[in-house]
Amino acid sequence: MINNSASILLFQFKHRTLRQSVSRILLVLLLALSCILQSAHAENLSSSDEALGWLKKMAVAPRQHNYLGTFIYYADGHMETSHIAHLVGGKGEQEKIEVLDGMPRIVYRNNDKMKCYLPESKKIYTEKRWFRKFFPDLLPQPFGDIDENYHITMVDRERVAGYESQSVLLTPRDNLRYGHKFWIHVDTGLLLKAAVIEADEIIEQFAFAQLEVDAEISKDIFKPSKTMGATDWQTTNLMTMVLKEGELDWQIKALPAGFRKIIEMKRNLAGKPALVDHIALSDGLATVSIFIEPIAKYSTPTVPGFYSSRGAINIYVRVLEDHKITTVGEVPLEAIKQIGDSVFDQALESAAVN
Amino acid sequence: MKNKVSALMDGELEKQEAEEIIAILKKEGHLQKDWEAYHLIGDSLRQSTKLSTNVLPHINKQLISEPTVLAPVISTSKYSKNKVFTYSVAASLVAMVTAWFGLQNVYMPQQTLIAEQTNIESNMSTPAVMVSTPSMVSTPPTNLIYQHPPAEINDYLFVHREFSPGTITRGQTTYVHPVVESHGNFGR
Repeated sequence: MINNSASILLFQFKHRTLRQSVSRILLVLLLALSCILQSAHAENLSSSDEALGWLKKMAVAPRQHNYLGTFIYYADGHMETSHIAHLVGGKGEQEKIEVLDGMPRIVYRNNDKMKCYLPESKKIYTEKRWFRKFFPDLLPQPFGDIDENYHITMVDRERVAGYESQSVLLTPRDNLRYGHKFWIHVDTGLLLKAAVIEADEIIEQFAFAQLEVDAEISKDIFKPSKTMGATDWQTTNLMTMVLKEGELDWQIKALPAGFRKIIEMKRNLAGKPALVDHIALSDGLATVSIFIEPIAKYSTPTVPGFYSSRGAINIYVRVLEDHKITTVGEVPLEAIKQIGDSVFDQALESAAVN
Repeated sequence: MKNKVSALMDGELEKQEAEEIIAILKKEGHLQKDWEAYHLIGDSLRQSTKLSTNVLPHINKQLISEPTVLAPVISTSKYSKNKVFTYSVAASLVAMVTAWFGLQNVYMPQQTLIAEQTNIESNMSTPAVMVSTPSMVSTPPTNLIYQHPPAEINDYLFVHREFSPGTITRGQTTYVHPVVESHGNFGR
């Protein structure tokens, strides 16, 4: 009798232990399965037409509306206020952005041409605006394959700078780019606020603090004052030569998924004896620049490594064939490294083959 | 006799007595050593830069007489082997923890958010969004720490962002800092 009871107890104990083990294994399997399913869910989901419609509206808005306002840039505890005036007319777009904090800086844009005035140092930098997009005009037109790189979802209706906005979230489909969130003016499609997101944290943000949409703007506002650009001011043209596709010796072997080359050029950077090669890439939202320059014989040794600047900017420096390759962009380190590592000298490679 | 030598040094002896002590000094080696030692002590007390006694031959002699050990003593005891093993394990642990902290620094940069972020975060926390947010995959090894970014990075940033707000303007302090240490095999 005692033996029977003991056997039953032993059986119950073993059965309970087995049941617990099976439950634990099932739980682990379920967790793993849910992770896989959710990842696949994010990677494969197509963006809704309505969400894409909001982005289209946002992309065309700066070509259709005048605006006058003050916006704030915020990253890494640093805040900078700027005043913007944007005018659309028969001759295209005119814009003036004046940075109100710190060192004075006024940028005038007339369609593609840009001029940056630094009153304190009496310097002017001129440049053709070939590839960059800046707040509140962030999206290229047409923005094409943005849906391939980001999953776009509508989030909420919020009030920003006194206007009703629709917030739209762009979740990256891989680890080569950051996430973005846009707050779009419901009536005009103007971008009121934009955030760059890494995991669940905002790493860089632009937001209008005050905005007047379709404002009356005088053209005189886009003329620099007479004191600026006087004879004692020094002008530097940062752009010298735009090259054809593949014309530079230095090329990128394998572009990361979703990125395409925007431009190849030779830059005239102040203080550099030789021109610096510059290749720019974009995935429709994030931009990456690659600068290649020969290492001067008696210069201080080049320091390879990874660096970070304010906000979303990451930097990767490497040395190849006595050249310094610096990759800069608003993308994660993974993408910066992948791009920087795939730079090669095509002239040298073809010589080696022959 | 030592007292006499000391008195002779201090000029306290009469002429005849001094002559006798000097004669003994010439014969007795140990007294000559005392004589030298007393002078050395006197020089030290007076902080004289020139020593009355030349100590170099003595030091050289001592160096020649001492054996030179070129290899460390190898201990074969079990205890010391355990000690080496313990130290290596401790060092490995420290290296692992350091590397882990390094990686944490890369993948989780500290960010300060503005007030409105609370709203944004709550919006971001829907399951589909959170899961689909990518995580870093690569694990760049941490070999070297570079404190100073290349000088021309400021120029590159200025050109890359094309004067946009938030950009570092030429002439401003560089806001660039190393985040990951160099790859062991990258570059050349």
